[in-house]
Amino acid sequence: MMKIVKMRANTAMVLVLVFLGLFSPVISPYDPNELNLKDRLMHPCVEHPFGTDNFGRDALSRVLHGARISLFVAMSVVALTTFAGICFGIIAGYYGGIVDNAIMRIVDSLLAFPNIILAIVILGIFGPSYLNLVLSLAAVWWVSYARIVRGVVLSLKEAEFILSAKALGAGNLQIMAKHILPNALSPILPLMTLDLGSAILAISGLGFLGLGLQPPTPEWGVMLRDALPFMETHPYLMIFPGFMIMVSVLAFNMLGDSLRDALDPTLKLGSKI
Amino acid sequence: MIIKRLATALLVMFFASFLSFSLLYLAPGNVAEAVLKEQLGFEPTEDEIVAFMTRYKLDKPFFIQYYIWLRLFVTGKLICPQTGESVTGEFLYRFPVTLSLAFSAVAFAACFGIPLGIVSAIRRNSIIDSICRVIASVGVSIPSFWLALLLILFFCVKLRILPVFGLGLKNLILPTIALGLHLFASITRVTRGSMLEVLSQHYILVSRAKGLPEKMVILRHGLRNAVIPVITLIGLQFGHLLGGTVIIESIFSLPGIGKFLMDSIFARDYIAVSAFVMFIAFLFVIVNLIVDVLYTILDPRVRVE
Amino acid sequence: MASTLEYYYPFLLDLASEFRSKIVSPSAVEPAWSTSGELVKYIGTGQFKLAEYVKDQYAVLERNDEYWGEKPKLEKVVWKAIPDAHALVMALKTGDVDIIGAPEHHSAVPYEEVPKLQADEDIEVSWQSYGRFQVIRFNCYVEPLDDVRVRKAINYAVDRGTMVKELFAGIAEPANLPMCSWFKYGPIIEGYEYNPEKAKVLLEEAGWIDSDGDGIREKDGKELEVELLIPQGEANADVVAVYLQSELKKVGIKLNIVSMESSAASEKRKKGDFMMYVHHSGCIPWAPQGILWQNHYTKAEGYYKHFHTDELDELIENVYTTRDDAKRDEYYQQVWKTLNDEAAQLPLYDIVKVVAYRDCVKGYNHAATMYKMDLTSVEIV
Repeated sequence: MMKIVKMRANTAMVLVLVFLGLFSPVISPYDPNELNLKDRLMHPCVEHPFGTDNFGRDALSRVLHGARISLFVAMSVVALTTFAGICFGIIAGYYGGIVDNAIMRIVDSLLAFPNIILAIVILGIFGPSYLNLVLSLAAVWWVSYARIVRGVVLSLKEAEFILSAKALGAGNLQIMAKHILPNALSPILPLMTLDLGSAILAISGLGFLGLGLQPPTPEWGVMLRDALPFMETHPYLMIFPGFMIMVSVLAFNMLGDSLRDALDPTLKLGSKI
Repeated sequence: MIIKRLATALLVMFFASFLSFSLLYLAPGNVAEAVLKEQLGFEPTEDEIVAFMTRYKLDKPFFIQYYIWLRLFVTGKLICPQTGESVTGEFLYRFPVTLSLAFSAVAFAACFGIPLGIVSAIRRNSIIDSICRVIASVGVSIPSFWLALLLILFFCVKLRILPVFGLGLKNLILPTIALGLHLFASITRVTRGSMLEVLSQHYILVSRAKGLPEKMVILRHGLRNAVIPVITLIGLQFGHLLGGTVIIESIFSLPGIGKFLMDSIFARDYIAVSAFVMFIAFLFVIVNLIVDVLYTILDPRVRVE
Repeated sequence: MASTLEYYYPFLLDLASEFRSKIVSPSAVEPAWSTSGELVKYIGTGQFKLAEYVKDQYAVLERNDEYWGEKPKLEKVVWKAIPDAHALVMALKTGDVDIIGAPEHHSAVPYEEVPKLQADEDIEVSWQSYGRFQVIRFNCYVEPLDDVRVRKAINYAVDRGTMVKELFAGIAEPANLPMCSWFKYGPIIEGYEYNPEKAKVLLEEAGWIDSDGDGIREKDGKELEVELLIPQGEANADVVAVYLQSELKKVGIKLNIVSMESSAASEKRKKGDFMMYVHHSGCIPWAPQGILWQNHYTKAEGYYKHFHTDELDELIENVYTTRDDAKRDEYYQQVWKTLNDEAAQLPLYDIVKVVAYRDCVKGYNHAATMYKMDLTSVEIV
């Protein structure tokens, strides 16, 4: 019972975030990129509940748009990660043999690799862009999915209903889509949710270092970086974006935990960052 | 078993070397021009660029360069253009700083996380338990760079009781907390979980039935087994700890490996960057091996395998 | 030099300035006396001796009592390596260091931190102009910048005064000429003043109209879009870029910002693969000819494609070859006038060097050039 209540609460939190992200252009009081040098560095007041930044941009609007951007990029990362992971996992499990061995060797080696370092290096060398950001993060994270999916495939490969489907003449692709994928979904869903949280942390971390999305994009990590010179006199410019990062990650982490408890409590999922 | 691990380790290193060198090779911009420009402060001439490229053999085809690079790297002769020293030398010079930071972060996380996890498990479902669980959840979600800034704001700027930068013992306090908080939260969680599991085992009931004091029961029997997953956790999370040091060292201006990596990236010294990716991969592999060995020692069930 | 002209130019002061060359003791190199050898010892001839050096952390300098000139008052200087600009300011505030901004040749103290430092009673801030402007160079060969009206419009559209006053705390001086005027041979002409209405008129004349009401002008179905390339490391460029974006949007131009590491950016510039590029004009001790050479003289080695005409080439050649100083000045003025009339660049502001120090530091004077640090009369009280 408690589980369901918790799950509902966590889902609600995430939905609020998604709502903020989707509707930020509508609910933001100002254009997040509109400069207004006369009003720069204002403390929180009625017109600007979060104050204004160095360029006179409304901080509240920027934070709201930040939700949109973070969610969008995080979802891109997780989408690519899941897709690649599922593909490799199915290939490894289904075809077995050398292919399986090769893929699993790679999976084992990359399993806990500090991919933020890889991301930093790739973004630093090839330049910060949305594409490089998504690719460099997905480059290492796909392995967890591959492992799980492969496990599912292996356990189901010799199952009765698969054999009978094959006997009935179903093609490999059909089997994968109809029978294997749905079963793989239950361990994957919590992982995806947790990874959304990890992605937001990674994206904002890279933005903070100057290697992620670039100014004037209102991304939370970038906002933290912009707020550094004014930390002493205007600490809230730094506090609000960071707080939003924490809240978002917390929401996804808790939802992910609830999902895992509901679907597959034996799964050992660690955080990625 | 050990052979298998070693084989995987070697594979990882090989993979890392190929990756590192490919990054170096594919890097846009002319490495020669980039590094010379940094050093001289103005545009290098064509002759200078050609001389640089010949000196570092940058005009040969991919696999020859890869072989040369690998050979130089392994024999410790790879020179980092930014400083003129060998990359191995640069790494060893900075390694102690990162090691102390990582070590103290792990120590902090373990010394506070394990007791908290135990307390949480013993007093299950009490207020303390709830507080601990909240701390654990929140702790994993806080961005480390934000926490670092908050700590700086509070302790250095407002209260002025800790120095912002430098290399003394006092300087390590804030970075340790910022770096170690995630691990601390994870350890708390895992300790609580495994403690709960262990406490419900048969041998615990037996010990209690024997009349042993509760403290003995917990410490002697419970703790040792509960610690095993923590060690695994530290091994798994070590990679992320290394990643975290890059950010934390940059914020606190600590001259460690992470900071040097960032500096090399911004100085376009990709030779150093590729070498340091190798070193980091190497560290990560070693730690994993150590964790595996420790695991084998601590958990007799695994040895039988 | 790929040309066969007979040059006659007052280079001597330029070449003799310290920035260009340093005296190296023959025994400091290995093998000794070899001009292509490796530097193994630090043997200098200055006011201070290197006593201790810990790489990436600090260096300790001690007064050189055998110095031939005026000896400094300070006995010892500890030079700490603080790479991050904000850490630099914080270190000064907490008293970890006594003076910041002095050794670097650009302004290491960010302008936006200056009001905070000025408000602190124990800290003094002073700055010095060396005539170095931050200038955005146009690639006058690509659309839409090939139209001089568009380039002029951009020059009219930017309110440099407000930018300097608000974003740089009034420290830097706004600049609207290709080069600093108080240099010898410097431009004595009128630059572009802030006039957004005129900018709009010029753009309309050039055929750029906002037909769909989205705030950005179009012509023949294409949007009026320009791209600004920022080489990383260029001081304050990020802040300026955001401001420019907003100013240009007000007159209907869309500005895209691309930040790139400096050698890749420089390569793009060499190939002519850019639209607008953040650069700087010369400063002391460089004389104006250096900037002319690389940016506008087509026969120069390593010429960057910005803007040129045959007349300009001829004028520049005259500048280099004439033996009459008064005539040289005349030619220079014609060069400046051409560059200004054609709006071949967008000057922004004078990059002043800011130095801040605690009030126990007395007697600090700004050095003669941006590249030097003068501690001769400094003492701690």
